[in-house]
Amino acid sequence: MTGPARPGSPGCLSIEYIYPVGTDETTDEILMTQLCRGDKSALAELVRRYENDVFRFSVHYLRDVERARDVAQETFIRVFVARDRFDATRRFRPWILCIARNLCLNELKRRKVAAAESLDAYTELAGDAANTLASRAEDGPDARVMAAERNSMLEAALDTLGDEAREIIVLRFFQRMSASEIAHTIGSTEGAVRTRIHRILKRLKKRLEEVADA
Amino acid sequence: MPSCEKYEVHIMALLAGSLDETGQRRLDEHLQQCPACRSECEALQGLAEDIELMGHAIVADLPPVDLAGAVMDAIGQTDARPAIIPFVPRPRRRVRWAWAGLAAAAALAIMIGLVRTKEVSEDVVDQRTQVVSTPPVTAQPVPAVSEEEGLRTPVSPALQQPATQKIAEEFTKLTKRTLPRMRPSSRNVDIPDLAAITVRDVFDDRVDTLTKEDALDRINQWATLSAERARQIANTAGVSPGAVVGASASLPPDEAAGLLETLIEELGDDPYVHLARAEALSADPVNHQAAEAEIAQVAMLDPDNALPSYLQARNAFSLNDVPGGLRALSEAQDKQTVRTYAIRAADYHGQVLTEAGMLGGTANMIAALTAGTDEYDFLVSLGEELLQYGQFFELENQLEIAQEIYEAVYFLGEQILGGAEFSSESVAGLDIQRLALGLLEETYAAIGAVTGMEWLADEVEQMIAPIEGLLDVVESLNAVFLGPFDETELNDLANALLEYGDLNLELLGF
Repeated sequence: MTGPARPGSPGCLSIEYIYPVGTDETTDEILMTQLCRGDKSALAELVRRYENDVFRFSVHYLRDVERARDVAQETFIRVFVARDRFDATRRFRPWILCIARNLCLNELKRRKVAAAESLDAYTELAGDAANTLASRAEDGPDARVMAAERNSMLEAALDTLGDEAREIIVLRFFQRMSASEIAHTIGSTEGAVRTRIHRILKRLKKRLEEVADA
Repeated sequence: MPSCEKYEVHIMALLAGSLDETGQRRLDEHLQQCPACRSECEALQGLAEDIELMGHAIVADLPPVDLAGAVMDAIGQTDARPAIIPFVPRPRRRVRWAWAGLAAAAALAIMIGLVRTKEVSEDVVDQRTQVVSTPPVTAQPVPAVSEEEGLRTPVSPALQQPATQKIAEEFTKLTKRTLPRMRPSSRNVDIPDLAAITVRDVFDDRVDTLTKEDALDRINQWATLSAERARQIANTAGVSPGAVVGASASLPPDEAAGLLETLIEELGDDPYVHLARAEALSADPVNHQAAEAEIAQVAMLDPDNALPSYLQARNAFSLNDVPGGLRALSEAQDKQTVRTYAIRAADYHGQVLTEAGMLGGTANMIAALTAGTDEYDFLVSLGEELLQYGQFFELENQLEIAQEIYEAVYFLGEQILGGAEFSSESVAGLDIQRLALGLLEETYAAIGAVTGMEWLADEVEQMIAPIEGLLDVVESLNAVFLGPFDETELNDLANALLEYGDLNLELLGF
């Protein structure tokens, strides 16, 4: 799910967010135009629509729930300040995620080593997620055990990715962004993004095979 | 199969979520005929789905956030439309061990060392500090400057006074009440035959520094060589390279730079020698490139040291190379500590005093007692200079650049605390942080960054406790001066200080 569903919008996947999807017909881009004219309530609506999207985006980047909340808040403040620079002919979501990304990268740069407590918390979340996914396997206890092992290996393999590769994983598979949106967010080209996604997946696949064989 | 290669593009597009219907049909047709590609594609798709599910599961149980209130409050306090609202720095991980060491080291410093502090530089503290320090608390920000100037300096409603004023008050107590101050000698002190000064004389004078003015002057004089004496030693045949390095510290910059250059072949692996030469060269802008080369040498010999990057930033700003300066500051923040090699400097100092005629133990004790004081000056000057560049950008209304510099200098202070070998360096780190926080406070107040003010208040609170701890330790350890030390123990102590610094008390046996 790439955010509140809009009629005809691309990229809507089968898994829904846990919060209700808005049905307002006013597009994000129209809200930005209203904001530029001085209507601050338009920003409030954008916050309502994207606060959890941006928050979760930041959680995946920073692996720190508290700081992700701060970055998410700061992102909307920046949206307000930079509102005149938004190109209404382009989509809003990649733009706001680009802002959030820059803030996250700044934070990561300042904090080269994540605080042990917060990283442990994120790791615990990831571990719980792996176990949860395993427990949902429907083919019996043996299959669930195997699924748990695979998910743990996957989690470990993801941890070995460098920052740039991890960013691609976060944007494509955690945030469900298209290659075009990713390219816009990170300042690359769609072709380069597609190639990187492919290479990273192949590398992960190979890593998992090596671990399984060991 | 060569024909498979052309379908790799389709697989890439599929995994990227951008394969159109035509491409999907063509890929499906190929996969039906090619088991290898089908297996590969299914494996990668399965992996992609697993990753998606994992990503969703990680955040699925997170409670939703509600940011609207905080965001609307924050933008509501911004009457003006500043060009940018800067990123709010998050509290950084404190280097806790340094604080524990500092508190105890302060006691040691009082007992056997000299900790030098500096007056708050009026050049650095913005004149608007006087405006910001206006009390009192109100529910709404109080404009303290004419709104026609477009500036407001609200007092945070959470604080009874500007946050950094609390640090300044605590720091003033620390410096005025308990820590001895190096000051220029105000009287002529008769210097006896250097060889006649014993290590006991030096220690006793140090014990007396809290109560007798001339005790500090004497140690100061003993520690300082005249330029003439330094030249004599440097030109003496057979003198050790270390003593020559020590002598260079007493020479004018241009002489020192030339002298240190002659030692590069013998001591070229010592980053301190390159650092000392870089600073000597930096005194004259015409030597800019040579100074940069020496700074680069320090960086090469000690890649984990952030100090070269800060020096490069300072030099870049001085040449109006703003992108270069910001880039260097960014690189500096990728490293953990700042090191000035104060132990090496103290060792060289002891060597030159010995060459000057002092007994070895005496020279070592003087070098140990005065260690870190020059480093304090150097570090605080560096921090102040960078802050001044930040103030320049602030006056130009380039707030983002100004804040970036202030934040970098605040982090410089933290890195100094992490790399300090002597307590004087730690005090420099504190001092720099205090100065940076003061300017950040004003900047946040000017742009109405409420979250920035809250962060700053938190940082201030974290700074006050160690300073107060330092005060407590100093007060409580005065009684240690009553403890007996024989000459052997004093020599051992001096040697240990020159080997470990005064922040690792367990290594000193305390």
